[in-house]
Amino acid sequence: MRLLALCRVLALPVALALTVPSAMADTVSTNLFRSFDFTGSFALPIDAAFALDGPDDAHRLANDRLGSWLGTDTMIQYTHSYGISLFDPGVSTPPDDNRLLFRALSEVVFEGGALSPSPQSSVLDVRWVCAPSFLQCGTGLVSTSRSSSIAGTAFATPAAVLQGFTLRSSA
Amino acid sequence: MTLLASEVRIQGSVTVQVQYAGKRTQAYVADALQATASVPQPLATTRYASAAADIAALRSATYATLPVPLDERASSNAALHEAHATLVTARESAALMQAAATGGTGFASRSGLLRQIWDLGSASQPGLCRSGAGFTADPVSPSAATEMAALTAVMAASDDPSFLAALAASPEALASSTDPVAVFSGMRFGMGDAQLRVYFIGSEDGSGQITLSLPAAERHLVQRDFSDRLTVFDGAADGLAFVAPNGDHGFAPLNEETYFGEGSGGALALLANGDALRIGLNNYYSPRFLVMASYGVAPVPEPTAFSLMLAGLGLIALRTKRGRYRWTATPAPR
Repeated sequence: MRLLALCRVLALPVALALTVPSAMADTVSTNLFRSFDFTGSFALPIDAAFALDGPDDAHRLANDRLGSWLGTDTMIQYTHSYGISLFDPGVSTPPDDNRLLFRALSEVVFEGGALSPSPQSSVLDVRWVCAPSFLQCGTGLVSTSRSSSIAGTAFATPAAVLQGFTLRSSA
Repeated sequence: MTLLASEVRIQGSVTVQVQYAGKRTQAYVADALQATASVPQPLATTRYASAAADIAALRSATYATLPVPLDERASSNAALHEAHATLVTARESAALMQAAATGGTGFASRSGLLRQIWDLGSASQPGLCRSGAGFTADPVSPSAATEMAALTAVMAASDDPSFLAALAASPEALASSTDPVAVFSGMRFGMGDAQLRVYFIGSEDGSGQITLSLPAAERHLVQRDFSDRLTVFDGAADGLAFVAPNGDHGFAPLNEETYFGEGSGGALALLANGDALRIGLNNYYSPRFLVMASYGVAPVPEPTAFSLMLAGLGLIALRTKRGRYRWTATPAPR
C-alpha cells in the first residue's frame, strides 16, 4: 500500500518532467571573447578605449532577431603590472633590514557601458626594497603584478555593453 | 634614489555572454519577412526566396567564440529551424504553382508533400514532359505540419500579412486521419479539373493497412509511396480496374488484396467509372502524406441546395406520416 501511495505521489512530477520541455531548450546563447594588452609608463599613463561596437559584436550581443534579451554577463580578467628601474646610490654600512628604495601607488580605472557598476578601479601599492646585508641594488627593471577580475551583470539594455570601456592608469 | 625607467602594463581579456529567450516559429518568420520587406510584392517565389535566404544567414552566422551547449545554439534552435523550413517550403510552394501556371518542367523540394503533388501532376499530364521531383540543397527538412501550413498559407496569401495570418491559423501538429487534411483544386497545380485530396495517414494498429473512402468519380490517381497492394472493400460489384504505376493494366476483385507492383514512385490509377469506393492500401506504418487526384468527381449539392432538398424530403416524409396516421386512426368502416 505504501509503495502504491508513493507511486501516486511521484506520478504527477514524473509525468510533468516527461511532458514539459526544458526551460533552457528555447534559450539562444551567444558570447564574445577578446584580449587586450596596453602599455604605458609613469610618465605616459595608459588612456585607452576598448570598443565592442563592431558589426559582428552587435550581431552577437544585441540581436533581437535571435529572441528576447534575457541578460548579459561580462567578465574582465586582467593583470595589472608595472616595473621600474632605479639608480640606487647605495649605503656604506650593510643594513640589517630591508632598505626601502621606492614606493609607488599605481591605479587603473575601468569605466564604461560594458561595466556594471561603473567605474571600477584597481590600486597597486608596491614598495621596492634592497635586501639586508646588501650595500647597493642594481639598475635592472623589476616588475610586479596583480591579477584581478571585474564581473558585470546588471545591464539595463543589451546595447549598453556595446559601449565597451575605457582604461586609464595613474601612478 | 633616481627613477631610471618605468613600465605600466595592463593585459587581459573580456568575455561577454548573452542569453535570449527564443521566439515562436511565426515570430521568426515575421522577422525575416520584415527584414526583406523591400522585395517587391505580390508574393512570388523571389519574395519567399529572399526571406528564406535571410533566415538561413541568421541561422548560419557565428555567434560564439567560446563553446556553447548544442541546444542553446542558434543553428539548433527548433523554432528557428521550423521558421527556416517554413520559408523554404513557401518558396517551393510558390515555385510549384508558378511552374504549373507557366508549364515549367523541373521542380525540387525537401517537402514530401510538394514532391508528391508535383509527381502526381507529372503522371496525370504526361504532355507537360515533367521530370520527377528532386531534392533541394537547403539543409532543412520541414515537419508535416510545417509543409501543410506553408503550402496553404502561400495558396491563401496575397501579401505578407495575409501569409502570416494563414500561418497563424494553421494547426501546430497534424493528426493521422482517414479524412483528407485538405482538398485543393487541381487547377492550382496544373492538374485541370481534378480534385486534389491530401491525407496525412498511417495505420492505427501497426499493420500498415489504411482504408480510405473515396467520392464517386471517373478515376482517381494515387501517388504511390512504397504501397504495393490494393484491396477494394466497396465499389462496383464486379471489382475495380486499375492501371499500375508501371503502366500495366490490372483488376482488383472486391475484398481481395491485389498486388500492383513494388516500388516507391509513380501513380496508381483507379478506374472507378462513377462509383464511390472504399479501398485499402498497405505499407503505411507511420503517418505520412498521401496525395490523390480525383477526376470527374460527381457533383455534390451545395450546402444551401442540400438543406433545401433535405427540408423538402422532410416535409414529404411528414406529410406521408400524417396521412398514414390519419388513415390508421380512422376507424375502419364496418
